[in-house]
Amino acid sequence: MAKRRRETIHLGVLYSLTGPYGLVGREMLNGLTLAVDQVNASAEFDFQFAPLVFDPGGDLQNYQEHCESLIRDKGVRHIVGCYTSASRKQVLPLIERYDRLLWHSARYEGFENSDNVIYVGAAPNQHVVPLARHMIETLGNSVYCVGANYLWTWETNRVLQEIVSAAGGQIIARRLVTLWDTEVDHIVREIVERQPPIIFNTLVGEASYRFYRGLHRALAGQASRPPVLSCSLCEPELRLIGPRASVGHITSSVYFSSIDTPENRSFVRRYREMFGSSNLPSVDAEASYLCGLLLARAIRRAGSTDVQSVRTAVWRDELQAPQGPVKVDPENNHCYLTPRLARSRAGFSFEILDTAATAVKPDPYLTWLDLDDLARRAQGQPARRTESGRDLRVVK
Amino acid sequence: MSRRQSRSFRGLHALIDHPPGRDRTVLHNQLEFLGLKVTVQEQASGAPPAFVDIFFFDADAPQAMDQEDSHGAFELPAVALIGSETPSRLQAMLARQPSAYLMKPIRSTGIYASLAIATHQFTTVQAMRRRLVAADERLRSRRLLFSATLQIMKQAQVDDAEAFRMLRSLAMARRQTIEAVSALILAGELPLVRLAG
Repeated sequence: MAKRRRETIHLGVLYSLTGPYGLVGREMLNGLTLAVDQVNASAEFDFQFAPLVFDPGGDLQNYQEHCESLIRDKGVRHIVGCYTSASRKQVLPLIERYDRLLWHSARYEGFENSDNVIYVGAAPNQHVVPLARHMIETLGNSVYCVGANYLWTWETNRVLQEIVSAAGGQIIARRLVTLWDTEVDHIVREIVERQPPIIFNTLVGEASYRFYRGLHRALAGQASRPPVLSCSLCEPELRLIGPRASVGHITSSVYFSSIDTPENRSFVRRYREMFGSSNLPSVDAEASYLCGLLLARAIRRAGSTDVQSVRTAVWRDELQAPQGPVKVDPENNHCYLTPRLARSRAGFSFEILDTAATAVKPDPYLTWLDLDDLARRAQGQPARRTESGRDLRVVK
Repeated sequence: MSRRQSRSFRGLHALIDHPPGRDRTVLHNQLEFLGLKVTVQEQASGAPPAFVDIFFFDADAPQAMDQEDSHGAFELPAVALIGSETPSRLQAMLARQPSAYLMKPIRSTGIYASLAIATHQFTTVQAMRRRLVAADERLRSRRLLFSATLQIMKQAQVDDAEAFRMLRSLAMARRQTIEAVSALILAGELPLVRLAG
C-alpha cells in the first residue's frame, strides 16, 4: 500500500460496552479513543484512524459474528478488542484464518502465543507471580481463595497454589461462585468464622464489589483484618465498591493512575479532560491506549497496514508509556511490562507499594518460573502479617 | 474373507458433550459424514450412557464447584476437545484419561484421525490393563505358591522339587488350581498329613 496524505485507516474495535463486563469495555474504549484522538491530531502520522466500534455485549456468538463482519464486510486488517479469554478464543480462529492482527489489551492467564495477536496486557509472570511472591515474602503462605468459577480463577489459583506450596504453605479453602452470580454472603460468613490470614479474590464485577462491601461490614470494629489480594481490582471499581469498603486492598498490576511520571501525568490529565474530571484511567484503559499507539507507530514505521510488515515494525518499537517503557517481545508477541503492587486508599485511587526495577520480559507459559528460588527468597524473611505495608519499599 | 486395511467407524454411536456453536456443528457433521450416529448434549453430569461407543467432551467446560475434578476416567474411548492450554484445564482433562484430543477450532481434518487414535489407544490401554491385572494376580499367587512349597518342605522334610510335585498332585486330585490349593494349605484348611499319601 502506498503512503498517502492523511489516509483513513479503518480500525476494528471489538469491546463489550454493554453486558456483564460493560464497565471494563467502556474503560478500554476510552483508552483507545484517547490514542485515536492523539494520532489523528498529530502531524507525525500521515494517516487517520477511523474506528469501527462493534459491541458484542459480552455474548460469545456476537464476538464471532462481529469479528467476521469487521474482516469480511469492512475489510479491516487490525482489530483492537476482547477482554475475556473465552471471547479471544472465539475470534482467534477467524483472525488466524484471515491473517489479521488482534491487539489484545487485557491481562490474561497465559499459555497462548498466536502470531496473529499482539498481547499488550500482562502475562502471568507480570501479575499473579509478583503478587504471590509478595504474599509469601511479606504476608504469609496460608491463603483463602474466593473467585468466580471460570478460567481466570482456576489458573491464577493454580499458580498461587504452586508458589505457596513451594514455600511450605497452602490454600486453606477455595470458594467458587458461578460467573455473574452475586450471592457471596455465605463466603463472607465463612471468612468471619474461620479468620483466614490472607484472602485472594478473583470474583468478577458486582459479586466482587458485594464481597468487599460485605467483608467490610462483617469485620467492622475488628482490630486486625485479613488483607484481600487481587490481580484485577482497578480505579473505577473502587468507586463502585464504595468510599470505605474500597480502602486497604492490595492489587498487582502493571498500571495504576497514581504512577508519578511525566508521561502518566499527561495521560491522566488528557483522560480526565476527555472523560470527566472525576475519572481515573484503569490498567485496561492504559493498555487499550497502548494498543492504539503501538499500532499507529508500527503502521507509520512499516509504511503500510500489511499484517506481516506491521508485526515486524512493532517488534522494533519501544514506547515510553504511562506505565514506563513498553516493547513487544518478538519471541512471543507479548509485551515487556512493569509489575507493581499497590494498596487502595481513600479517594478511589492506589498507593503504589512496590515497582519492579525494570520492565519484565513476558513469560506466557511460565517457562522460567523458579519455584525453588521463590521459596528461598521467602525463607530469607520471616513470614508475617502486615496491614500497613510499612516494610515494603514505597516507590512514588 | 478380505480384511479392510482402513478402519470404518460406520454405525458407531458418538456422543458430543459441548455447547452449541461452530465447533460442535463441524464435529457433528463430520462424524455423520463418516457414518457415525451422533447425539449431542451440553454439560451433562455422570458417565455417558451404555449405548455410546465414543465420547467427545469439552475440556473447557466449567469444573464442579469447590472440587478439582468431579469426573472419573471413562470406560470408553474419549476425545478431549481442547481450547485453553492452561495447566489447570489440562490437569482436569487428563484426570478423565482421554484416548485422544482435538484442538479447537474444530476442523473436519483431524476428526477421522482422532477416531482412529482414540479407539486404538483405548483398546491398547484396556488390553494392557487386563494384562496388568492378570500379572498382578500371578504375582500374588507366586507368593502363595512359594510359601506353600516352603511349608511342605519343612513339614514333610522333602526338597523343593518333591514339595512342588506333591502340591501339583494334590491340585490335580482336587481339580483345583495349584494357587488355590496353596492358599488352602497356608490357611490351614488342608492338613499336610493328607499330602503324605
